Amino acid sequence: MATLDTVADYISDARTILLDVIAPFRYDDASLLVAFNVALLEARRIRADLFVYAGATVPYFPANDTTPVPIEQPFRLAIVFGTVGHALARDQEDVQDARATTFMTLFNSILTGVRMPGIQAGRNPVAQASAGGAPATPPQ
Amino acid sequence: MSASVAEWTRLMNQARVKLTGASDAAIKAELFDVFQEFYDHSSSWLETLMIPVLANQTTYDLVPTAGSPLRIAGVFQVDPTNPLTPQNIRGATMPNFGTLQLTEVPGADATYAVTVVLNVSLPFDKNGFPIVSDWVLQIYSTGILDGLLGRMMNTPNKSYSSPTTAAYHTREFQKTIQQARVAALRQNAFGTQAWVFPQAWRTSGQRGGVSIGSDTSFKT
Repeated sequence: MATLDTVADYISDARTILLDVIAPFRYDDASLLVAFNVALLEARRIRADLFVYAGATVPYFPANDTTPVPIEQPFRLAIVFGTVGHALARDQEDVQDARATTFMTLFNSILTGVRMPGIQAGRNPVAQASAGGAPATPPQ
Repeated sequence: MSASVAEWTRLMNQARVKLTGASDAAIKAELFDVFQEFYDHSSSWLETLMIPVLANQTTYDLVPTAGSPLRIAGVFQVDPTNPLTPQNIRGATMPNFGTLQLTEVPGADATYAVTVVLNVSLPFDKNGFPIVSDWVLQIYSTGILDGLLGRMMNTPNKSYSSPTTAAYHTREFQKTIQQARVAALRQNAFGTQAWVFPQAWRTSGQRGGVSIGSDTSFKT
């Protein structure tokens, strides 16, 4: 048994990063499963070697259960970040857009690069404006 | 019998360390191409098949224990009941890979020893590795690793891409192929030469020419 073995592991870790661990959830299981499956599709586009030699199709997971996810261990964190990034993308707040961008960047970096960039937290523009500061700009 | 699990593990670990961000699946897939090039250019994987030849039949299937036949290295008629009987060279070709075609129609039943050069073929073993000769990683693991690194590092836009380093590893791989080729020609005997005058054509008297055969013993 290893880290991030099953669908439930991925959904649980995504909820932790999304700070959505108390029911009723902001992001229900169906939404996170969509985000998870979309992250797999995007991973297939970027890193075909993670999929084509193990069956040539991208697996689809319809339920938040203990079904094993056949991703090599060094690349599982990328799938978590891709799931979180896609889940955040549906929100319309500036802070969430910045976080979504950050997590998608991390997703891409792990799959394509060597060095993972740092996670920069977004800032509440309302709180910044009331304190007299300029709104935070999304990380590049 | 292919390479051992320990040998594969060692090779994979070395590749994982040197190829940051490469997946195991990609490494295993590239290994097949590495071995295919190695065996094709070195002709070092040999197997002698004993073929029961029937009278008036010239076509036979070549079925090695592993791999696929690439080219024929020799065809001899032998006497399996008496190993002291001199072997007779026989002519044959392989117009279709895996099918032996004798150039002469045998007049009687006999046994032929056919030495074939082999190459890797599908499918992979249960661990996803190509089925190779059992000695290749014992003897040429460093060169095989060079071939793997050269091919992987030559892939563009990857975290492990490095054209300069790929060129170096590719050169080292080519040297290993040449070493394996020469070693196979000399039958892994140090200090001997690969070719001798065909003994079936030698003469012992002045009439008809003088034998110029060379020995294959070790140099003193």
